[in-house]
Amino acid sequence: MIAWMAWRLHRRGLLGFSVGGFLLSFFYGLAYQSAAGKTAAEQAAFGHAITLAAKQFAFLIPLPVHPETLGGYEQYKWLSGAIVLMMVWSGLAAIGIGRGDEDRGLTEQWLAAGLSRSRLILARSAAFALVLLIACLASTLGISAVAPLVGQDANLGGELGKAVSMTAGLLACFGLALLISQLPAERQTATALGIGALVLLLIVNGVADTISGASWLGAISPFHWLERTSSAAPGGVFDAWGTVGLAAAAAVLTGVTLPVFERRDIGRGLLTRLRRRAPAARDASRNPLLRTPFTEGLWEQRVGLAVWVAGTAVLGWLLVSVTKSTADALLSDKTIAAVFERAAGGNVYESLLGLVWFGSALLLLAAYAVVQVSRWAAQDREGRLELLLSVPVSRTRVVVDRALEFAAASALIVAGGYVGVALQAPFSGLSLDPGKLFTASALLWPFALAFGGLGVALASRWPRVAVPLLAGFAVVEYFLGDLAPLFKAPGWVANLSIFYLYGNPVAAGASWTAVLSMTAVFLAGFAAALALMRRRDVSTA
Amino acid sequence: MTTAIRTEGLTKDYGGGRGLFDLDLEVAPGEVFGYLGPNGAGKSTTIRLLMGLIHATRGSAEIFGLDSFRQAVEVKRLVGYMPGELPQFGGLRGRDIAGHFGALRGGVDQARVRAISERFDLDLGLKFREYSTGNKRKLGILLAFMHQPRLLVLDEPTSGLDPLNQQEFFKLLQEARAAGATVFLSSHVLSEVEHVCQRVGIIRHGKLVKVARLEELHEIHVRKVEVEFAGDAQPQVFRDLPGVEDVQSNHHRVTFTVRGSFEPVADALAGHQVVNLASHEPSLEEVFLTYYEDQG
Repeated sequence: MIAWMAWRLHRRGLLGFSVGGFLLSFFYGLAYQSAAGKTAAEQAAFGHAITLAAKQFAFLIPLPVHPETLGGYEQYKWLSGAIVLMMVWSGLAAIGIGRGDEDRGLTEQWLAAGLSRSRLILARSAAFALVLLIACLASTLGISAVAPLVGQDANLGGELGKAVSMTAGLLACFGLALLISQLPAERQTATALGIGALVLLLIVNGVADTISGASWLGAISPFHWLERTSSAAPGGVFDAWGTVGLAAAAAVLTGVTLPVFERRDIGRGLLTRLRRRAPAARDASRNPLLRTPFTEGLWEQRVGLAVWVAGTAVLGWLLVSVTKSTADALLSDKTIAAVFERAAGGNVYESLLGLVWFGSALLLLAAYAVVQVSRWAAQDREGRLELLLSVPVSRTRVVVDRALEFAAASALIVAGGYVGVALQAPFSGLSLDPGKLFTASALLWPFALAFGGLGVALASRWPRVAVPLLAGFAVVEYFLGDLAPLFKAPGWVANLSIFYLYGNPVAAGASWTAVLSMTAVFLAGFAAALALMRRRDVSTA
Repeated sequence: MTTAIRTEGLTKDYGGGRGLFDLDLEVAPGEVFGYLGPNGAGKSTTIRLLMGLIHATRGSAEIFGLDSFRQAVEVKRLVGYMPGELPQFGGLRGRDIAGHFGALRGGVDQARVRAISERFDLDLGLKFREYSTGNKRKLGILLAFMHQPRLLVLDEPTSGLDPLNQQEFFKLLQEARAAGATVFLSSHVLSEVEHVCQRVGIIRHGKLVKVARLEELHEIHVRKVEVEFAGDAQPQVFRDLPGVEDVQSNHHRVTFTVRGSFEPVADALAGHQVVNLASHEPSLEEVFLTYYEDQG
């Protein structure tokens, strides 16, 4: 039953993360050879450079261990990112099990078929654990697969240890999100709270890693314990107790979920308030925001959108706060300072801010595009689009309103990030050019619109697969931008990545070619959406 | 006067024999037309074609002379639509949903919204996910009727409503009809159609097999007859009679159906000692099923 559930209910995630994980670890291996060279001396110099550069990202990614080796390089460049991606996946899977199944009526069906609540949660959790283990193994064992091709020894035992540690850590994330999913009654709220809690724990770990006085905070974050295992690198460490602790945390969190699920009613959350007795309302709302699908969309997602805007502002504020101390730590080493000033080609602080904050903002905006497309796909699947088209609203207007809704929401998120950064910048000791800061922030908008345009097109024609397609596209785009320079690919190849295309405008200034390209992607997506929406059948059947 | 609904050769072919094929249909303004068929017969496909939600493989559909796909927006100004199942609106309140769709339509009278919600005792202050199945149907009725449309397209409108609310719904429908509205009502519940419809179309396997006035359907003389003899039952008396089918006997009792004239049965009974004779008019359901069996 567990194997059936694992395959039937998680097959897309399983295939995406296993095949994608294996391929990416393979390509990063090939990139390692291209970037590190073939001789021991070249590789040692490469490892040293990586170690120096890695300090600027210590907030987000743990420092590398033996990056001069294939395993150390992959652990730093690929597995660190994979853990963040899989964290989001684990969180969403947990919310899906705790809330999504209930919304779709599956939970009721299973319980009606005689399955106990505890057994249902345990079976679903075990199924996801199995899927997660396979995905983690695929992501780590790909390193051994590529090792002979790049003239390095395989490190199967170490990679296995890393996979087990990743699985335990990500299961702890899953368990936390599963427990949180029991608290509210609505899936959207559960998603915001669950993913928000995991991102918070990631940030807590970053703070603990970069601010010496706050290192004690790391103990509450699963990512702290997860990064203590570095066995994918030759000479790395497998933290057995840390891994056991993570597995125990996962078991405890899932175990606590069981009585909570037993206690609450189906269709309600543990913290759902009892409704007060009130006279029945008979009038339709006169809220002016409900007058168009565009403003209605913003109104309906107002709580989630406020969380996105506030969360982006707080993240911007936080990252600006640590940028100077991180940069100063880097610049205190003359060798690092020379390397970094050469790489930055200007104001080191601006350059570092561009990498740390704006790099994070790009990922957030791409994630928001996926969330928004998921909302449109749900409207389609659940029949809301059908009902909307039964009133005097044209298909063109549906597409236009979706684009406007996305444009307005993403502009608010960009503005939130800018406010967070701009408010903290004067107190952070950074000498930032306000004009450049504003321009770089404003240019996040066309970046978001490019993803939004593609999202509108996909949701207009293929709503059922729009989310995995856009998420897959975002992952490919991100890693294309990361891998193309490592493979020394021509500029046009790297420029195929929207992440790469955005560049680092806060340090290097705006590239209007990039702005035009991103705007063109948005317009092309929008035009495709108009054509595709007109041609398709709208039906929930 | 322009026909309310006109389809010519309307076809939606999903492949494998599924879909709707060569539908020729006309519904006059002010008429209440029942569209009957079992699940999967093609009722919802027809409605989605009329509403311009899906593309026809071939043929055409017009609402009040407007092409239902090319002039979809104009068509929907005239139509009130109630889908077979109301979509999920999650945490939105009933008043928000009514306000949103009312604003998109324009010209919705708040007094009308209040009157319908009071009539069905629908609390618009609740969140959609707090509504029971019946309340969701009531909200669907409100959305379809609140703007007093010229054409009502209703897909199984009473499913999920309790008998009292069903009666209230039929009254509302009669009022709409009295005000001049045309109604296209799809159903697989025949009693629903019997209540309100003037004409009925029967669809099976994507093909319209019969369009008739309600009286015409009743005039297809299919009767169930039960004869009780003083002595042993004598089923052989009826087996070879014209129009008699499904003869069954049990001790003193014989049951059978009679299609068409009752005269041969009356003649055959002459000379037998009959203790009791019962014959009842077919319900529309029986007519419907008989029709299907014969066409099958």
